[in-house]
Amino acid sequence: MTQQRETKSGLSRRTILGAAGTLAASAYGFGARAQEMNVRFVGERYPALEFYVKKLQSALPNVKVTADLMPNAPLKELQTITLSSDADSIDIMLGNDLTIANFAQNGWLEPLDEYIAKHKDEYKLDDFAKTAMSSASFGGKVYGLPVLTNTQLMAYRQDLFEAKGLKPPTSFEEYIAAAGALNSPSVAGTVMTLKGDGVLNEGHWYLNALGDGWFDANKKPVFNSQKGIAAIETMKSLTRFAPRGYTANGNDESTILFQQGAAAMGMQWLTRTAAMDRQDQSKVIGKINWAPPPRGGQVVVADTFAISKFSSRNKDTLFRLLAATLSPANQREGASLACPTRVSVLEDPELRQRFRYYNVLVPALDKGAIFPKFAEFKEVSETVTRRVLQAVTGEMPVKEALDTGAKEAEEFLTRRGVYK
Amino acid sequence: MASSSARAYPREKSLWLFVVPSALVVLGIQLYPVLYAVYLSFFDYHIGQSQPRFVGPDNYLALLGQDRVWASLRTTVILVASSLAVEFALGLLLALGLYKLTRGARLFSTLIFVPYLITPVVAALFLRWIFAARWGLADAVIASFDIFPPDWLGSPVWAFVTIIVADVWQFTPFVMLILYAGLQGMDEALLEAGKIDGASGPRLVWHIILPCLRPQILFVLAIRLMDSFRTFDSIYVLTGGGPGTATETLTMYTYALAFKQLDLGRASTLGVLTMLIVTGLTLMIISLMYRRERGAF
Repeated sequence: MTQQRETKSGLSRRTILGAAGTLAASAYGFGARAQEMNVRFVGERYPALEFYVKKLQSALPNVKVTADLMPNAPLKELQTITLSSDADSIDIMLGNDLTIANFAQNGWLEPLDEYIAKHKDEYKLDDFAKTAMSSASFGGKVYGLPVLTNTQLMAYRQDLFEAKGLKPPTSFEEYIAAAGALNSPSVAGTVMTLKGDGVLNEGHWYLNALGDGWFDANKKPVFNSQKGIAAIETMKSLTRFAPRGYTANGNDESTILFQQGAAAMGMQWLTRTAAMDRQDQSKVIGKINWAPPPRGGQVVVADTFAISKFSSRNKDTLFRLLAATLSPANQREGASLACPTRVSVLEDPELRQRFRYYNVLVPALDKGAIFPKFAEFKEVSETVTRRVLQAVTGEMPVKEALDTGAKEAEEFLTRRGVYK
Repeated sequence: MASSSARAYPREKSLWLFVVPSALVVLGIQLYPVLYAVYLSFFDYHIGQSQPRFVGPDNYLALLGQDRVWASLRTTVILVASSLAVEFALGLLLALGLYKLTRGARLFSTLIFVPYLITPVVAALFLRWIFAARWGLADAVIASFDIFPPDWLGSPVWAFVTIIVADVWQFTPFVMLILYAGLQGMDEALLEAGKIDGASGPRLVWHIILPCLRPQILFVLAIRLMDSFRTFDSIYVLTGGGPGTATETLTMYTYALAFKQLDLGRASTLGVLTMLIVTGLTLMIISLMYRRERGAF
């Protein structure tokens, strides 16, 4: 009986201890799960961002990041709809110069100055290039951490150029001559990417290289100046060497034209340089080279990580997540896919030697031009670029199209209360 | 009799309760957004603006004064009329062919119906890769015969044709199915009588089959008219409204107003105008087809 009691007593104690242990373990597990933060990120789908999303997902312990990546146009729609309805379904997002300015003016983004000051030393935040930080700022406040600087470079088929004894053009006269010399039924003299926002990017180059840009400091249109008209006339003249259907070509289609050996030269985003040498996609591996666009003035943007004002997550943790993702080590690793935004990485001699486009990157960035820095530019550009497109395709004479666009832009900006 | 009526009345009354959930859904997700769009159309309101500003009919006047609205309306009407005409002719021919078939009609109708089952944006992406210049399937096939392919998406005329082909490919099966269903219910004695009177194939179709199919024709034309007016996916994916502005329709412009210019007031106004135009055209079709039989609908 005694033995039985002891046994019963012992079992009972063991059971109690076991139960307590299980409870403690459960409580610990529950606590750990309770500390886990679920974060939703939305961004554009391209190789460099896919790399940074992987880093984002492993940047901080106990932070689980769900990423939704999509093409640029639906991304902007999703962000605009979600943020304008004050919804907290997006925590962190990818922005660029245009969206950061627009969203910040609408009060949809969390200002980061306070967090930058707090975590400056821990994450070496002074290391970010000033130009990149200015892209992430609006109205004197910082709204994002720059992931990558992006610009357009002039991609060209080195083998075709050498076969014709041509050198990469440094002026528009040379560009037109080279496009004409290399144009054939199977290879387009130059790609032109004019679908959607493409006309904004391509037009930006012509208007800044040959014209006076889009708007002056007072937000008055200058794209229809004499020089602006000449710039768009030049753009129009190059359409004769562009591939058929160029107005329906977005970035993907133009990249495929290069990869399939159907284009001799043209503007390509820096983030697409790696795609030219992809074994599974490209027929021209090692044959594409890059040069700074003639006369500069091509678009320079910074893609930026930003935090939604309406996120219900801990904003300090979200900031640390972004800062940890953009560490110097990660930027060095991602340098093959995109232009880093940290000075220490940009100046890394090993990287300069490893990536051939680095040689043209610095002069290209030096001569590039950012979009006009006012919140309504993104919206007003819809009416303006439509007229540029009409001018380029010959639907309307260039001067008439640009003058009409200028009138419409002024009406639009007046309605928005931009002119006081 | 009186007592049975009295018993039936409360039962019918109680049945109305079953309508309430559906009515609430219709009111909530169909009527409310329409009424809200009508309300917004009287305001100057863009996303990001703190308070909408009442402007009365200004949005309507401003849009009706824009060349862009009239150009996109013209483009829409041409696209809708062309697509509808081709889809109806092809759909009728296919339905008559299936009706004549003694074996395999079910298999053929299922196979022909497949394009209609594909999500429009997926179908458009599929066609985008077929009609892409230089590396698309259509170019590759045509070039293999040493023929220089047309500029499918870069010439205004061909871009129109490509969009119509996309619409016809996807929606002719729907027209065919409805007309085929109508043919199945047709009284064959009428056809026999026509044949005894010496009517040939085309005369049978014109004088007997088409009048018998009038309800189905009306239904299919009205539905396709409404759908074609709202077509967005295929144009957005295939041409983006280009070349230039050659294929910019009312829905493309509404999209630009709402999601590029973020002008919800004017986007709502254009949506309301489109709704009025489609309603007017649908009523016109009904009155044309039933002009001799007033009260049929």
